[in-house]
Amino acid sequence: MIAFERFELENGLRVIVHQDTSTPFATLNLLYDIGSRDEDPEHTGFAHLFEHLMFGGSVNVPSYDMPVQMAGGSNNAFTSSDITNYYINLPAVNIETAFWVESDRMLSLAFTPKSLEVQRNVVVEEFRQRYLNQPYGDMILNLLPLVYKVHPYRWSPIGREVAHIENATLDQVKDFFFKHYAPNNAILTITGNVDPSEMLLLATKWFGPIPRREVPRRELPQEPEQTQARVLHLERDVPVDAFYRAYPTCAKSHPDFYALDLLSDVLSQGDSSRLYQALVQEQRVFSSLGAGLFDNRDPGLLLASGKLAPGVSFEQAEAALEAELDKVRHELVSERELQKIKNAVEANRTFSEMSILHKAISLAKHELSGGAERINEVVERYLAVSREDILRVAQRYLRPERANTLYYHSQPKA
Amino acid sequence: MHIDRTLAPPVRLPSELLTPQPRQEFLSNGIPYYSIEAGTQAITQIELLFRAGSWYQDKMLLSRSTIDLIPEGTDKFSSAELSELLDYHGAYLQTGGSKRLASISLISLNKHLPTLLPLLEEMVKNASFPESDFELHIQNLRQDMLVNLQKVKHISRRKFFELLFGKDHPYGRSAELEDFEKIGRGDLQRFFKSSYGRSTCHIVVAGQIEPALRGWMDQHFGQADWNPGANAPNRSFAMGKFEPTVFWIDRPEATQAAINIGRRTMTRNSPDYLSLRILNVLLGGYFGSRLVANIREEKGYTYGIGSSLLSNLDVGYWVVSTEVGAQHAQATIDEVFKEFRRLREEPVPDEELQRVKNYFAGELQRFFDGPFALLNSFVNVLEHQEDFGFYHRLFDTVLRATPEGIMELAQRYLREEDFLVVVAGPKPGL
Repeated sequence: MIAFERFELENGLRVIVHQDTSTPFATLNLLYDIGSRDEDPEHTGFAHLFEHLMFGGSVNVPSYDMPVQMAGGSNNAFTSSDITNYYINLPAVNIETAFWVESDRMLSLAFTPKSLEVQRNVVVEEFRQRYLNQPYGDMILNLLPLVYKVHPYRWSPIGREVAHIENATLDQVKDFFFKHYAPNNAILTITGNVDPSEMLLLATKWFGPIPRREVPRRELPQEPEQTQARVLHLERDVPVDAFYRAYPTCAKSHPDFYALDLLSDVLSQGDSSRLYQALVQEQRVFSSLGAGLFDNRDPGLLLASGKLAPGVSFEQAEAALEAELDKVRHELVSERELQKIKNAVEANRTFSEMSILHKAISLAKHELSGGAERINEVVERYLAVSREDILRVAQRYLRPERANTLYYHSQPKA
Repeated sequence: MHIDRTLAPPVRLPSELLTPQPRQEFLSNGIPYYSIEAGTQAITQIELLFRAGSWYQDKMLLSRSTIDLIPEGTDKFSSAELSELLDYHGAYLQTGGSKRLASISLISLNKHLPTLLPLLEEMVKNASFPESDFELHIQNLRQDMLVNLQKVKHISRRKFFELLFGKDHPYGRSAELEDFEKIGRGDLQRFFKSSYGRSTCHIVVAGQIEPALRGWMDQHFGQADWNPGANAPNRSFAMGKFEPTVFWIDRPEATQAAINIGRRTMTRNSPDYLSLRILNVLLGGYFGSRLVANIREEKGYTYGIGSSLLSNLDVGYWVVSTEVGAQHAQATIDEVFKEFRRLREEPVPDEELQRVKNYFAGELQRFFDGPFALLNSFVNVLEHQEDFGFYHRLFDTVLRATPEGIMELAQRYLREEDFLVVVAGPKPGL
């Protein structure tokens, strides 16, 4: 059970505080309700580029990082399809430093041309390092547009192409900031060795004076139901063939989400999971194989990824995977199997409660999608899933005509 | 309320490092047993460490394959049964190792320990290395290696260690594809027999420890002198003379170049070691470091750059690593050496040194935040036969550092001519 207090400032900023006195540290986490799904298709990668620019100095604080380091802290951020999230972890006695730097950049950035120029280059190098100069690195860039035809999930947070980042202008940057970086579009969580009433005072002091801003209403095109299986073949200079299979799923807020998540656990959680045992250990058609559920706010996907074992053809591997999927589509999982994954859900809750950073991010995400109190309800929702629920979602979501398959062929250069 | 947003709120830093004292005992058969009480959840991590690291292997891949296969089947259980039991109880089992040690670590809710400890005992005493699991493991390691051999980062790193420590030294030698043909299941059984036993084992536990745990551990690991033949023989390897050079591995198709710039250094007990740790942070050990500020935040050549100072028992090394846009490789090397020169020639400004100290002091505190961090920090010093006193000495050294002392260290340790440079990426034309 994670106890917390929630406040809302007059400018619309939601503040959540969770006290944990077992640590000398505190985490301040600021989630902005802006992700790559909110981008213009012609200017993709912008939310993420913007995350980098947030470290380029703000209107009153020339360096964001230096005061945090001076306070014995460390900080980082990430951008997903749905959110941009910033956090600072530091000795709890220095928490006000975090309020100071984080509120100033919500007030306004410095917007220096130098910062834009440098961070454009840094992000282009990130694009290369993680997606282009890596074997299999461009998989996700090719898979997403196969699954999504109209929804902005069809591009990854890094962007559709390097040119979109290279061409970003300072005017676009400013426009983006004032559209999306607003107290009424953000959730602030503070966890750790802090006093909730004192945190409310500090939040009011530092964030209270920032004006509410006009945030555009989100109207995203929703993906139509997929009615025909899709395939894509890629040839790359990689040493081993790889196989990817994705099915569109539901939004995180949908009641089916919990059963789907447990279905993906049945398939892939731990070495005792079905895909690993059947296809890696016993049949040896894959050398590695995993599956995961994307927990997005709009319908996400269930993705199985594997590398083929030596001498195995795509046809053999795919047929073996289909046979496993057929089992979950046609037969109830065993009582023991369901109990196993539910036990893991409960254990993982206990493990995750050990980290104040994890709790800060998780509280913020729950507040965004329905209310922070859900953090204490999710385990019950998982425990309520039945074997029949798992069979039903497997039949509903893993229908053959909803399959998207990416064949990543090894074509070594001579 | 008017606030002046240009003024930093005051910050406070701890004047001393507070660490719990691990309790040292011995199981009935003499195995050293360390326990660290910490955390608010009913969870315990139990780590068994064996002197069975790669230092002790006589074939490549042997140490790692042995520890990785210990959970994959025993006399009584198949690998499928073992993994099902662990997963059923929501537990995690990890294997790992350093040059000297191999480790197997169980993280579990306390309530499941009575069920899981017998499994852990069964694995470390009666691992059976089934032929089919062995074959699968070797095949997968080989595939991983094929993939890694396409990554400039990996290619550069392999060559770096080879040139730093020599091909014949365990620190310098990486596995080659043909090594996968030379290893058999019998080698693992032999290594298991010779390296895993009462006399090579240490145990560290951390978490909200049940009073009964000590008794359970004694029951499972402390009773008999299991596998009395196991020992960790004294081995020594000649380390050739180190010759700094510039080595370029041409990868014309790569869009980035992976660079390693490094040298040998001393072991942890050398007088300069602790001071070098702070010089390392200043140079490339945190996001505000000289290298990040210059190569990433000023030039935009890279997504990341950093330096690390590592020590094994007999020798250490210091390395700057980065992947940069291919066209910036030479400029990056020049800038790294320019930063060395600045550190040799200009005293670090007081404000910057204070920031490094404060950051490092916060990091050191973080090493002790929670049971998993505590266990990890303890294992890191245990290998060097030290205790948490090491971190206290490091903390004191950090607080006492002066600009003059740092410059003097840089003059002795950051000379360009002492550093090896290895680049994997498109080689620029002449």
